[in-house]
Amino acid sequence: MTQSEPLKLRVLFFNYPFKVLLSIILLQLLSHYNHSPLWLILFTAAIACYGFFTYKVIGKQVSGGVRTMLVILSVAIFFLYFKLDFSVDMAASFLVLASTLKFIELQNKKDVTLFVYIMFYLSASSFLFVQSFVHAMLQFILILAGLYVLLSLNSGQHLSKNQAPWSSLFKAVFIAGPIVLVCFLFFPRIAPLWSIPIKAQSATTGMTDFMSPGDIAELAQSSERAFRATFSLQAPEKKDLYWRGLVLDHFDGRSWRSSSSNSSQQGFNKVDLGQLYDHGDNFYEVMLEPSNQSWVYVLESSRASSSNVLAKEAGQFQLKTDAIQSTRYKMTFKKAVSRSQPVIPTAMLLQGSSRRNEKERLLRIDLQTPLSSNLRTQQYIEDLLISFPNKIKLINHLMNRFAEQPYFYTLKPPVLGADVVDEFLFDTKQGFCAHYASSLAYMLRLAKIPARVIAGYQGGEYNHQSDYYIIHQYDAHAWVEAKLPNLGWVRLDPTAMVAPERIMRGLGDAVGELGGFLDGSPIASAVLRISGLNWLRLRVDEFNYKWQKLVVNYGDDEQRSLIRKFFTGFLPNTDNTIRVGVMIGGLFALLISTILCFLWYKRFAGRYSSVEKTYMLWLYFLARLSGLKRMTGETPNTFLLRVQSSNYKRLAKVTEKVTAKLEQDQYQI
Amino acid sequence: MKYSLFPESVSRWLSSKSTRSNHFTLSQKNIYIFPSKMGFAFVLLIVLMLLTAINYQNSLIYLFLFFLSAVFFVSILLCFLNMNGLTVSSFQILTCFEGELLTHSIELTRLSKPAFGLRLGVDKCSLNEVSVSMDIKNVHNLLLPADKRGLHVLDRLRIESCYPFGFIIAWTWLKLDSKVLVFPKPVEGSRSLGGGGAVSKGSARFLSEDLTELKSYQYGDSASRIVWKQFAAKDRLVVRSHDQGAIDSTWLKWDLYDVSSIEKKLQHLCFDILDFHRKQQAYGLDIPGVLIAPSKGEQHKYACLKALALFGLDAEDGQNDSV
Repeated sequence: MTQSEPLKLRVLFFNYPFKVLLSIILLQLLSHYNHSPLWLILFTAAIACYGFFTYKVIGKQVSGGVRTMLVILSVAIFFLYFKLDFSVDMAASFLVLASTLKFIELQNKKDVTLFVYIMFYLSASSFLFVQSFVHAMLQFILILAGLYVLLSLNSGQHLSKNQAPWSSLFKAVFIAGPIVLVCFLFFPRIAPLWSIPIKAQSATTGMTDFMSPGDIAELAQSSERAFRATFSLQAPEKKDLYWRGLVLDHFDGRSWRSSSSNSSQQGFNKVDLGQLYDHGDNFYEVMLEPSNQSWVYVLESSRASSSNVLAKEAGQFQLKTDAIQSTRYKMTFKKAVSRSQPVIPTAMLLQGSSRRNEKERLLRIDLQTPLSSNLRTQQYIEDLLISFPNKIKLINHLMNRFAEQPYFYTLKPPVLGADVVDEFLFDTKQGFCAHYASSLAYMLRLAKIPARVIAGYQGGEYNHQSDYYIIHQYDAHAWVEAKLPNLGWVRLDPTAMVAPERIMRGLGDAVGELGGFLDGSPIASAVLRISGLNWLRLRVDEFNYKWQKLVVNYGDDEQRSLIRKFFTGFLPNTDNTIRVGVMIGGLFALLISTILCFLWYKRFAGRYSSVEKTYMLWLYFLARLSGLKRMTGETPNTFLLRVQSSNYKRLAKVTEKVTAKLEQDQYQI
Repeated sequence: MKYSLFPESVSRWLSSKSTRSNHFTLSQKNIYIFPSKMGFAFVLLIVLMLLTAINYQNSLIYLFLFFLSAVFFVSILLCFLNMNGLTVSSFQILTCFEGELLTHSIELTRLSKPAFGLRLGVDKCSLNEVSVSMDIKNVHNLLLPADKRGLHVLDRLRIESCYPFGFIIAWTWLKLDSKVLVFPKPVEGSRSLGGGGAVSKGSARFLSEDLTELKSYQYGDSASRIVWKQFAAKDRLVVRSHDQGAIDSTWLKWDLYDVSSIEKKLQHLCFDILDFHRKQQAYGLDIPGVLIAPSKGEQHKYACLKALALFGLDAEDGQNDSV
């Protein structure tokens, strides 16, 4: 290259839209704040600002030495911090760091273009962590800004004077719109190609597969959403909304845990695919917030109706992949079998089907008790068994004990010693749902009644405007299921005996002025109390729910049902693959023909004035109506004479007008 | 020429078949379109995004990747429309001297809308940025080094644009009939006076009278040149074909200079023509194959210089290499 080359580059270099580039990278850093460490965000922001300063003030990029130093320094800190344990967070943070380091060494058009590409990928990857509408809008603006940078790189030096390139950006976005919609709706959603370590590091509040007394009380501090649910028909009453999550069936004298967590894969039942989309009318849909767990929350007596949920032992369900992002699943209610309800307070018969290995499981797991602790309770049950040989009566007695004796429902129970059940039952008598469920299940097992603790959520906030339930973390609950002879599994909720308002109205009412509810988040609790803000919160939540349902969680199942709906009455007996093929082919043909029409029109439009176009259009119609065609070389006037001499008098009149217009236009009379 | 793609060679081959013209309108017949290098990088980016979207089953990544790929496809259309309908023409024949930069004056016009980010040149390595405003004649001067005298014909003109986002490159090769006359470089040479080359004023007059030819009057001939004697004698209007005003004239002859090389001789002749022209003296040119009678003025100078430029070359088919 010649001597003038660096000079030319320098001149171009100043024209790069560095301000836009800086804003893109700073906003991008901001949008990665919730999963990247704070030091990284601040560090990279400082580097970006420093780079911008040197570009603008000194007029060149940061010198090579400083750049190398920054690279070594930042990579060293990065690996000291993350210690090579790979996670999605780490990958995204590394991308953030690398793109910032790229920003300070932009040299030519190619560098800037590649930088914009990296920003595009960063935008896309940010959706792994946040999927809210506001975030999507921010990323959309960032993508537009990136396209603007590319546009200004490729439209010559007249950009600032001329506003036309902007219009071209909007034109591109406008034409792209329908294509995006069609692709989004009908592009086949493929199953993941390979498995990836997707465990995000950031801890989320929520259930654990381990419950000590007092554990669930901590969740009462959080107003975060656990999931939302929509019912196709009438929703069950609020007091019957028991969202089963985990079955905790192993008790060690202090805490309950799930015994099946290790062997979960074996317990799967194959979901019948034919039956899957053929759900009945009475179903409900749950939109689970990201929990990084595979647990799902379902109401009693329902079965899975979406392909991402698998049935597990003990009436549990599980997601195929962990919920690292919001996940939607659909459950259908089983038809109720009419059987007499047991006469026990709060008891509800479950419509579960007994499985083959249920019996063995009952003996092995659901009767397991640690015998070395809680001796007072053991003694108490032994005594009771003598006076209540009937199991139903025994349960009745135990349940009523919670109501009759001075038990007290509180979020701030006293700290218990070694024998938690003993101390709670006979001494302190103050506890949260975990205390009650734990002690009841333990007592039932001692009485040789198979029992287990269920951790999940109870109730939910009803959004009147659009008919769905919001289940918050503070709705977390624990209760008991017991198997009665001849009846099967029965739900028992000791908390309902102590504090019926918890079940009827929710935790906020149940605890009341005693405090403890949402103490950790004063803002959330204030919002709940001020009715205007609460209204606004529900509207925002409603909008976000719609966004999640329609866009964020549009997946394979939704696509199939959409295509099914589209093709009912049209190609009724064809395979879905063929339908999709027909669909995509048709849309593609439509797209191509639109473009061709557009091009043809453009060609046509550039060549002829509007009057000429009208004239030619009329000639076309005239030829179709009367068969009269203008010969090549025939002037409009001679043609007019010929039309007038023909039998079509009416057409001749129109032709006369059109010809006059044309003459006027052509010769500017 | 760092990377040569298949469509590139096709376009070159096709344009070599096309006829030379001084007016082109760009349309789908002569615009070629293909993803650029950065466009392929963008496709790679989209594939990467698709893998991410599939593996994480993330709808929003799908949405964004569809948006970006739609923009990619739309930019094909916009890139084409940015060049479509552009007229490229060249009517002026400019001149310059050997060793200077020659100028091809190329007019770019479009009535309907402006065109952005055009790059224009004779090969892919040296292209100049041009933008075309709507409705006015945008004259772009393409400068090339003139290292050979003669008629310089633009070999092939390349116009390209990556306009909207740089994903797509649209280009065209035009055999634009733009010509530049390159005169020899003016170099002062010593005229050998004794060699019978330099002619005095007196003999010049003698020669010029001797050479005078008469021809019949035609409309437009100057009245001062009519030979009135002949009109009186034969009742017929006759004019002198040679300007009698060129009294103080000099013949610049081929053998005037003491050098053997043809190019050197042409360079010295060129210098002297310019010299005489500047001094407002009349001069004639007498080189093998060309004889231009002594005269003055711009047109005369142009005729003489053109004769020097084209000396020994075929005017039409001669020098048409671009650099």
